[in-house]
Amino acid sequence: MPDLVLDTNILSELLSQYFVGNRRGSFFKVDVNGSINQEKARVINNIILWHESDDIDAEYPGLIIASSFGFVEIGRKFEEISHGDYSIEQFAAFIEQPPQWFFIATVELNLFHYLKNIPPYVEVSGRQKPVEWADAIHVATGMSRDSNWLLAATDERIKAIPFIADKII
Amino acid sequence: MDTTFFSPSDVKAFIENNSVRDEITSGSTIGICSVGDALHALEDNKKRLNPLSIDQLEDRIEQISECSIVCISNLDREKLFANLFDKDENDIVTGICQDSARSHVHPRRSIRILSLRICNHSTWWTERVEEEMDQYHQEP
Repeated sequence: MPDLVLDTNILSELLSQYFVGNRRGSFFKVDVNGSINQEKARVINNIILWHESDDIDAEYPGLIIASSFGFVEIGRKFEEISHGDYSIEQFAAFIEQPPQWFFIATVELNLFHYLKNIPPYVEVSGRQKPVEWADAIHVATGMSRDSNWLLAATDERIKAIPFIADKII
Repeated sequence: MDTTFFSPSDVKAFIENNSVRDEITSGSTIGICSVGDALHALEDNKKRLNPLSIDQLEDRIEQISECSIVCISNLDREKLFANLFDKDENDIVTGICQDSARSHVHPRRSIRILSLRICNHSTWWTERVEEEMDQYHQEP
């Protein structure tokens, strides 16, 4: 199973559900809600379950990954994005020590080797739209993984990048 | 060895014209640059009318990586936690650092502050770098 990279919208929804406290037994599970559709929920929960259960014989499912930039975007508009679902202290604690199924990826110069392959413009609904690096960062984060990867994305421009169509859920 | 803030203008000049301030090329001063500014300049070049080729951009990156006169500071989880939050004297989080994360300033400014400000034992986050960065942020 591949790593799952989250864009900022999906990350914020995951954090909201994580802190609201959806637990099945002792395991956290995401529900289909907001930007998390059935497919995203299935992949996320499969990763979480493997890491939190004792079934080490099951195939390693990868990690849930978000760029450190995603957390910056949430921090910049914290009240607006968190909707009061979690406190700043909880947000900080998540960054300081993420769950074992979660990895915060570094924004580093090496990402340019992947960003260079992302087109500067894509066609959305018949119109050319620019792909900003702030959105492309999530794609580059996925591409930088040594393992296979998927991207949970909501931005139409990211979803319109041709060569990652099979990576988008 | 002195350190100086390598501003977005410095990055742009380096990417587009391969030019760097004399005090940096002389080897007496190291330029300190945010990864956000570097990535933005590289990406911005792609949208120009006559962009540099990918090979030329990769040459620039290789020069940065090998010449040791410009240090590109990344933004990892540790820096994110250290710089995104205000903390009290017991290192307890008390809030979001408003200087580094405000909705009405550009995200690149947030990344610049978060990636460049490091803990006190850093040798290259100097008064000069901080003053020059603050001065840059005050420019219209």
